[in-house]
Parts: sequence; structure tokens; C-alpha cells
Amino acid sequence: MEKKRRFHIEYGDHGILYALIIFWIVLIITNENFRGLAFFQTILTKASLNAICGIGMTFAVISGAFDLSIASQVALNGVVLTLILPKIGIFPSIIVILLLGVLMGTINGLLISKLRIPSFIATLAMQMAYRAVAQLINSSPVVVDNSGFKKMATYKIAGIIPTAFLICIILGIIGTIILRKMKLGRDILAIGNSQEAAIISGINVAKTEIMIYLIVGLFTAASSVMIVSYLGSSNYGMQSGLEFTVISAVVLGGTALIGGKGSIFNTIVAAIFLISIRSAMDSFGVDSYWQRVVEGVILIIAFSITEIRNIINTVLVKRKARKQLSVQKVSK
Amino acid sequence: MKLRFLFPVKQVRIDQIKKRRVNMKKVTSILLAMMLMLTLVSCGNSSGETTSNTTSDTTNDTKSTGDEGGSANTGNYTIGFSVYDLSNEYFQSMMEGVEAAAEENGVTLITHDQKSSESELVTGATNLINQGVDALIVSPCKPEVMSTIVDLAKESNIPVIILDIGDGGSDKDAIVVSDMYGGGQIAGKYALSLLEADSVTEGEFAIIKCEESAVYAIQRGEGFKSIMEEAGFTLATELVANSDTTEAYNAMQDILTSYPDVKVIFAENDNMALGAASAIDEAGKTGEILVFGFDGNESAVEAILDGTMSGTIAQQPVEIGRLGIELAIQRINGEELEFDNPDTKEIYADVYLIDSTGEANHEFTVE
Amino acid sequence: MSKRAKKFWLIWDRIGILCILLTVMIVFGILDSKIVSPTQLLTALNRAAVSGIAAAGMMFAICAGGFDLSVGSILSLTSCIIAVQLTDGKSTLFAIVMAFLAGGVCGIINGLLITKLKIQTFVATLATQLAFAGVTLVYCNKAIQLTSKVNTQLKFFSTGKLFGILPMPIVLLVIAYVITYLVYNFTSFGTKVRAIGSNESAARTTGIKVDVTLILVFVVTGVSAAIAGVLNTAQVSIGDPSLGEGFELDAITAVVLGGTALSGGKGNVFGTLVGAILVVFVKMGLNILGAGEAYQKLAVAIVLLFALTINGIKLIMEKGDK
Repeated sequence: MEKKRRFHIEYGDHGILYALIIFWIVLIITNENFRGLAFFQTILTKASLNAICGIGMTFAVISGAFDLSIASQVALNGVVLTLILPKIGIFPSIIVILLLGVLMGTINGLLISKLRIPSFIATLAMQMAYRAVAQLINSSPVVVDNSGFKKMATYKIAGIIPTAFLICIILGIIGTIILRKMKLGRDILAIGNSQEAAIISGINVAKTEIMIYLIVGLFTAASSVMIVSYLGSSNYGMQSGLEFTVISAVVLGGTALIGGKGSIFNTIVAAIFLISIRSAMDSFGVDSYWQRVVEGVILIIAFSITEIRNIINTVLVKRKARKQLSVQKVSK
Repeated sequence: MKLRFLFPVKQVRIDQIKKRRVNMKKVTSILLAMMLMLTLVSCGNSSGETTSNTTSDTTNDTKSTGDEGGSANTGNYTIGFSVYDLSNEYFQSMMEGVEAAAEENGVTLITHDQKSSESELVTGATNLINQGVDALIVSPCKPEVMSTIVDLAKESNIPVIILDIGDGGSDKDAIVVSDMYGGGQIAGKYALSLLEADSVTEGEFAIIKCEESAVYAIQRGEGFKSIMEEAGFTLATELVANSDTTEAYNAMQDILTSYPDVKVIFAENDNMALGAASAIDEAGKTGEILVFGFDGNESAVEAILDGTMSGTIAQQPVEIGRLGIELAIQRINGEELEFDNPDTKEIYADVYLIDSTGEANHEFTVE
Repeated sequence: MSKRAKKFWLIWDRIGILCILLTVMIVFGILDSKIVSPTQLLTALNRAAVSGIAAAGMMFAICAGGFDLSVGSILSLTSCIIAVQLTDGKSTLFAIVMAFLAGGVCGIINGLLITKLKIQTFVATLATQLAFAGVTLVYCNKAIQLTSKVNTQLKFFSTGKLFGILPMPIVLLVIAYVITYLVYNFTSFGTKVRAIGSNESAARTTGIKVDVTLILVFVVTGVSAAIAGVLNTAQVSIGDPSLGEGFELDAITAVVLGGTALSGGKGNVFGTLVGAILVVFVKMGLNILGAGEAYQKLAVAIVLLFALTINGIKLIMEKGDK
């Protein structure tokens, strides 16, 4: 019984899923562009690219930190990938990139856990470093020649399900298994709740911290592969600002920045929600300057939804109390 | 009975609150979605760009029946235009050209702003293709992704016209290019003429460059360098300022420190040229050092008239935009296009000098 | 930790970053003496003024336990306001006042979102960064050149010399830090900020008006971004809606290098100033040596990691005590 209750709280609410479904329904009704399957496929594909990254980032945010270096990791992964792809083929390249991601994640993790550099600063510094390395490796953009590789992101199974989305779901399930079923996941949640308590209960915090950033690096590498496939190219300046989009998705999905709770499923839904907003604004022809304002406002509303809920709650309760008081007065 | 097993007695109150919370959840989620829709629709209406979408209702209906209506029936055409970044004056002008030509030809136009993001470019172009446009015009922020977009467009038989920047090696239907290298050369020739007028035949010059990844824009500096070095001037240094005004200002100060005798500065775009010009002005060397930019922005012309800049190379974004629509319509009609360079499917748009009087000067050209 | 070690760390806390700066200067001086010439040093200080002033404001935000990621957009906004007002014929004073008001209003908006809607500072200012950038573009979507007709008074902030010898940007920088030092150490506001940063709930319990203080903190950040905007616009003579892109990271790097703890509660005013100068100096030195942008990024990253590794060693030694 106790376990079930804790389970329930850990998952968080699924408000973001309801919001997404309602949003989509309203869009389908009001905008004929959204009645085509292709539109949703595009949204799901693009969102999956961010969401795969978000799976890794969820682990970091649960532990109470963020990894600001993911955009630069994608750039470095991308540059290396387009370099080796023509030489060793698709699958070996993917393995190499995943290993590269693990390496970068481990470096981040070592800086944070062994050298005690705060995660914000360490990842800020590595953001600059990885981007610089990418530029030094190749300062010109590269177009991918391998059509099989490019199909990875856009192929639709049975013409309906985008591959990118499927991979995102599979990786999401893997991520959730790590988070819920494995000791590593529980340790990460514990660290997010309270580092001192985690140490006391015998968790090897240092090792776990390294694992967190390793996971971020791994999922970011997976995301990089899909992104290069989607864009069909690489460029050392690519995906600038990705870390903010991904962090927004993670926070929007209910994973609190103070740590201790999170849901990978919600992160994925939130990523889809954010991309849907952009596509909707484009589709409605919203002026591109106002799009920035609208997106900022929507993010604010979404981030503060719990507080808005509380305010509405308080207002309603107060009104009810006032009514009861006036009824009492009358009856007296 | 089951309920009491799951929720022990003392939790009953929480149970009730949970129920209300669930309801509040649903209500506020609906409210959130409604607020979003209201915001989107009201912003969309106030921006005045809904013409593209309100008419698309009718054109979509007539499209299926009236498609074979013939080449003159351009009123049935829908063209999608995705542009690099509307926060940039150059692309604002390009958009003007596209919109004007679209209106004149009675074509329905759907626009998209990439906001300098390559993923936005791909997603936006994909959406336009999915919306069933008859042709796609793109001015890409990152040309290297064009292959992916062109391949996608080809699957739906949608012609792709690229405007400026570059084609990233893709198999587009046509690309309208301004001669970046030639533009730099024109600036060089004009610089030489000004220097000659002051009897200066040798000295140092410096180039302030855009970011390395802007492979097409950095051709401008190469062109300028070739003319200057041929005439016997020495390149003092090339600094990268990432198309940023403040970085160019800083770079210019550094150039003045290391090379105080530099005579000419060429910045690969106007933003950077203005930053450099300001640094020169602060050092009290306005008039002693020639400053050239590229883009022909209003702000640069102001600076030229004010005397802090010596000239800039103007492109013709409005014309390029119009040309894009015309080429697109031709391709929809199945017409063969006339290229200036059939091998690369390039159509040239002229660049021209804006000289120190602030007026267009067509005397300086490249062959 | 031995007594000597403790003393060392105490001194390092105060002037550690200055030692790093001096080391970097010596290295650059050996490589190319031009870099450390008096005129070049003056240039570095002038250049550091923009990010330095914004960093002073950002320090308050970080001391209070948060971040302000919207300072870049606020800088762009103030730049455009100044340009539009000046070209419209308004006086320089009016333009600057409007710019400060805008910075203050943006700060109030940030503060309200964080205190009333209880949004975490990181994501709140992330959202406002986007919103303010959009508003800037709606207000002014082209770069506006400030010609000699309108910029003579404004230029004073960039090239003017107080009493004929002190360059204005440096004067503004020094004034900003003196004020910051006094406010941080000697006013109740400073104490409140530190209290909130150390432990927000405890601060609330002791009766501190946390909400009001936090809103003020973000007004401070907003106004310092506005001041930086005025200075930057004066330097480049352009109002540009993209002037401040990426600026927030410069400000945060300076604060962090200076030794202000990200967890809040411990600010290092002098360190922030030195941090801002250090970043500018590294980039400038490498530029003069001819090292490209990639190397400059790497260098700043290495400096950041180095400075914080030393901090980390201190933490490890402190933990050893416990």
C-alpha cells in the first residue's frame, strides 16, 4: 500500500498528456493542415529528436542538475559521424558515436564528481570546449551521401509510424527501466531527493554521478545520430540552443528542477507538445516576431500551471467560504 | 470494500481531495489548451498574414478540380517560401519581393521563418511540402540540409527554387545567386580607385570575416583580397568576428593596435563593418582608413552618408525574391528555365557598389 | 586541514582569481609584449565594462540562488530603444531613461514570474529571454545606425574621459562595482539577498520579505543589463535587436569565475570584476596572437575549469575536516 502511494507520487500527474491531446483535438478542428497524417508524422519525428536527448537529460534533472553541454556534444558527434560514415559504414559509425557520447559524458561526470565542479559550470565550460573541438575537427559543413543512413530518421514503418518516434519510444522504455527498475535509477532519485540522505544510506554518490552524465552522453549520442540523419548533414555550429529546448521539455514534463522526481514518459510528451506549438504557430501564420513572444508566454503558463492551479483553487475556496459565512449570518 | 483495502481509512479525506485535484487537473489542462488556442488565433489574426491561409481553403478545393486548367491559371497555385531569418534586414527585403510578386501573379503564398535554425529549416520545409504546395522556394540558413529537403520535395514532384546563400550540393531546380566573390572584387576595385585618388599605391589592408561555417559569405573576403593583393597591397590580418557587431568592434581595435598603419578594412557584412567603423571613429581615424561592408543595409548607407564608411556592396534581395516566384511559376507550368550557368543551374543576380556618396555606382564591375 | 591550509584558502577566496589573471597576463606578456602594454590593458578594461556591469547585477541574482538568462534580450531591447528614441529626435537623457525603465520593467516581470507564479528562475528567465527578444523585434526589426548627428552625447559614455583622463567605460565599471560592494556588504538588501540565497525558507521564517527582495534582485539585474546596453550601444553606435545574443553566458561566466557560489549566499564582488576582465583578456590576447575563435573558446573553458578545480580541491579538503 505504502509502496503504491509512493509510486503514484513519483510518476507525477499526467496533465501534460491531457493538455497535448486536447491541444491536438482543438488544432484538428480549427486548422485543416492538421488533418493530414503527414503533419503529425513531422511533429513526432522532430520531437523525437529532442525527446531522445530529453530522456538522458531527465536523469540529470532528477539528480538536481543540468547538462548544458548537450548541444555541443551533438555538434561534435555530428562532425565525427559524417567524417567516419563514408569510411566504415552505418552500424560501426553508430557504435563509435555512442562510445564518443559515453566518453564525453564520463568526462563531464568526472569533472563534476571527482573535481567537485558544480554541474552548471562544468557543463558550461565543456559546452565551449566540445564546440571548439568540433570546429577544429571540421570547420566546413558536410553533406551526408549515404541515403540509407538518411532514411533512418524519415522512414515510416507501414507508412504510418515514423522510425524516429519508434526509436524514441524504445529508448524511453529503456530509460524508464533504468530509472524505475535498476538500482542505478533509484540511487539517482535518492540523490535528487537529498544528497546527504543518499550518502548516509550507503549510495556511492561519486560513482552514481558519473553514471548520470554518462547516461546523458549516451542518449545525446543516440539523438545526434538521428539528428544527422534528419538533417542529412553536419556542421560544427549545429543545434545551437538545443540544451534550452530539451531542458524546457524536461521541466514541462513535470520533472522538478529541485530534483527527486521525474518521468521520462512526460518528458517525451512535453517535447511533442513544444514542437506542436511551433508547428501550430507556423500553420496559423503567426508573425515570426510574435511567435517568440507567444512561445515565451506559453512556456511561462506551462511552467507555472501548478501555481495557477493553486491560485484558482484559493480563489474558489475563498469564495465558497465567503458564501458560507454570509449564509451563516443570514441564518443567525 | 476494495477501495478501503487500497486506501486505508485515514486516507479518505486525501481521497476526496485527490478527486477534486483530478478534476482541477482536467479543468486547468483544458483551460491551458484553450488559452493557447486563443493566443495563437488572436496573434495570427492581428499579424495580418492570415491571407495566405484563408484563401488556401478555396484554393485547396479548386486545386483538385482545376489543376489541368492550364498555365495561365496561376490563381490556383500555392507556393511555399521558407526564409533564413526575418530579424535580418536583407531577408525582410527578400520577403517583400516574394510577397509582391506573389500578389501580382495571384499566387497563394505560405511563408515560414527559419529563425537561423537548421532544424527549423527542415521541419518547416517538410510542413510546407506536406501542405501540398505547388512549389517550394527556400533561402536556407544552412545550405547543407538542402539535399534532404530537395529529395523530399522530389517525392511529391514539387520544384525547389533556392534563393541566395548556397545549394549545399543539392539537385534543386534552380538557384539564384549573387556573386559573393565578385562582390568582394568590386569593393576591392573601388577601394583601389579611392586610394589612387590619394596617391596611395601600397600599404596594409585587413579583412573582418563572418563565421567559418558561412562558407558562401566568406567568399566575399576572398574576392576583396585577390584584387588588393594583385595591386600590391599586403594583407595585414584576417580576423573572424562571427557576423557580430560588437566582436567586429573589438576586432577592429585589435587590428589598430597591431597594425596602426592599416589603410583599408573590408568586413564581410554590414553589421560588422558598422562595428569596425565605430572603432575607427573612436580612434579618431575616420577618413584615414577606408571601411567597406557588404549587404547594402539602410544602416550602412546612413554610415556612408555620415562619412564613417566608404562604401558597401548591395545585393538585390527584392529582385531575388521576385525572381524566385517567377521561376517557381515557370517550373509549376513545366517550362524549361534559362540559366546563366546551365551546369550548376545558377541564375545570377547582380551585386552593385554603393559608393561614398551613398548612391549606386555601376562603374565598377567584374567580368 | 592545517592552519596554514585554512589561511591559504581564505586568501585564495579573496584574491585567487586575481592570481589567475596575473598569471595569464604574464604568459601573454612573454608571448607578445604588446598584449600587456598600458594601452592594451586600458582597452581590455574598456571592453570588460559591458559584461562586467551586467555581471555585477547577475551576481545578486546568483547570490539569491537563481539565474537571469534574459539579460541578453534586455540588452538588445535597451539598445533598440536608445536607437529609436535618438533617431526620433528625443534627447539622449530621455533615451537613456527609457532604456533604464525598460530594464526595470523587464526585471519586475521576471521577479513577478518567479515570486508570484513560483517558476524556477532558470526556466522563467529562459522563457522571458524568448519573450523579450520577440518584443524587441516587434519594436524594431532592423539595425539602426546612430550617426554623428545623434550620437555625440551618447558617445561620451564610450570615448569620453572624466576629468580629462579617466575613460568613461572604466569609470562606469568602477562605480558599478563600488556600488555593488557597498550594497552587498552594508545594506539590509545585501544581507537579505545572502540570507535568501543561503536558505530561503529560513529567511522567510525570520520575517524577511522574500518576494519583494527577489523582485528587487531581478530589477537590479535588469537595470544593470540596461546600463550595459547603453554602453554597448554607445561603443558600436548601432541599435541592433540581436546585439545581446549570447550575452547572458558572458555575464554568468564572469560571476562564476569570481568565486560566487552557484548555490547562493556567498558572493564575491571583487572576484566578479576580475572574472569579467579575465575572460575579456584571454580572448583579446589570443586574438592578438592570431589564434582563432575555436582556440579562444577552448581557452575560456580551460580557465573556467581550472579556476573551479581549485575551488573543488578546497571543497574536498573542507570535507576532509568534516
